[in-house]
Amino acid sequence: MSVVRLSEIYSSNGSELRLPAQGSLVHSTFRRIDDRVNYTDNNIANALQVRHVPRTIGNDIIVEWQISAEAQSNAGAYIFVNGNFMRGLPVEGVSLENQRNLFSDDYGYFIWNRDGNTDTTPSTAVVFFHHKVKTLEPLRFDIYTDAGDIRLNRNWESANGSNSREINVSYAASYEFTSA
Amino acid sequence: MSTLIVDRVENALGHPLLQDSGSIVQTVTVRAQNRTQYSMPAPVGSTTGTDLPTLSMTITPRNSDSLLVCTWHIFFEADENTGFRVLRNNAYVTSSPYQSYGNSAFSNTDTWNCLQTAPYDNANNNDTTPHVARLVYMDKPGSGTFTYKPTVHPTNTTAQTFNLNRVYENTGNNSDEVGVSFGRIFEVAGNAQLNYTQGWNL
Repeated sequence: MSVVRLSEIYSSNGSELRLPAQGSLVHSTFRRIDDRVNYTDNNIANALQVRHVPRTIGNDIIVEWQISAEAQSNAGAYIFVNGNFMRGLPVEGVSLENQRNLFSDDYGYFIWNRDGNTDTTPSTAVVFFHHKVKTLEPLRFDIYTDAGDIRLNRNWESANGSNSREINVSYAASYEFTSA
Repeated sequence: MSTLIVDRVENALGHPLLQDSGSIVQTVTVRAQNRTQYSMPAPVGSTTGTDLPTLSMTITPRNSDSLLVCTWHIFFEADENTGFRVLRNNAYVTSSPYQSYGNSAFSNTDTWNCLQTAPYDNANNNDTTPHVARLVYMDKPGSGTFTYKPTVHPTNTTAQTFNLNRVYENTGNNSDEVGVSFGRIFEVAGNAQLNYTQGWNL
């Protein structure tokens, strides 16, 4: 097998061919999540963890979750990066406790969809989170539940499902793009 | 023009630059703007539900080990007891972890076992307000040509209707919104699907 390692590539007219170009997708991961779990307030939702090994310092990672769940109406969530409680908060550099004091007890990175009741119909939250690659250490992105319980991939009343009580599938992905 | 043919191109760290694990090899898209009311017979049982043919997409993967990530944004109004699944070549995939429905502990005859569910809408209010569902399905079918199509079905024993790109009451009027639906398939190169039981996936 022949292997070519290049730091620069030029076309015949001398202009540089950038591989990959700025803003290119250089790596991605995908995950299907079938687990049906009841996560109580103040817990890491382990089934939703996304892992990504960054390619290059300075790149931008977008983490995406599509989460099917039925949740209590006040339930919110935060994003952790490698177990770090600070990152992913809506206001950078402000502790979770202070954010609670600044805004409300239920202030989070996102809230779970609510439909006025907790009974038989799950709904879907779509969440995006941006992370700037600062080191090449492997990354874990977690969702921390706050101010309410959520029942992942299931309706509130039944873990195994029955007529009108749906069980579903969630999905997560990470995309690493080259930086400006 | 000069052409250089090699088996592999790497960066200085040894990571392949072309078709690295997790890179997008090709993309297929579809746009559907038909305002159609589909009947959804019940129970779905072992049948394949009602398919949405205008959101069908066909792809021939360039690599046999690629992961296909199918995503649809579906503008619709339907009863809260409506489930979404996906057909591959007009059949449900039944092998885990790529089954066309939810948890593999249950079968496609369990009508409540879905990929996605229509949301609850103010006391079962089926009239003039649509939703947008985001449906994702991942598959690793190997070599060949594959057609993917979303299906809808009641999650109980009552027949329903599914209103694509429209609401129940009308195909466009004051307060009766109409819209557009989309689909996309990413062919993702290499071993991009995470399997955490086997440790880190690079």
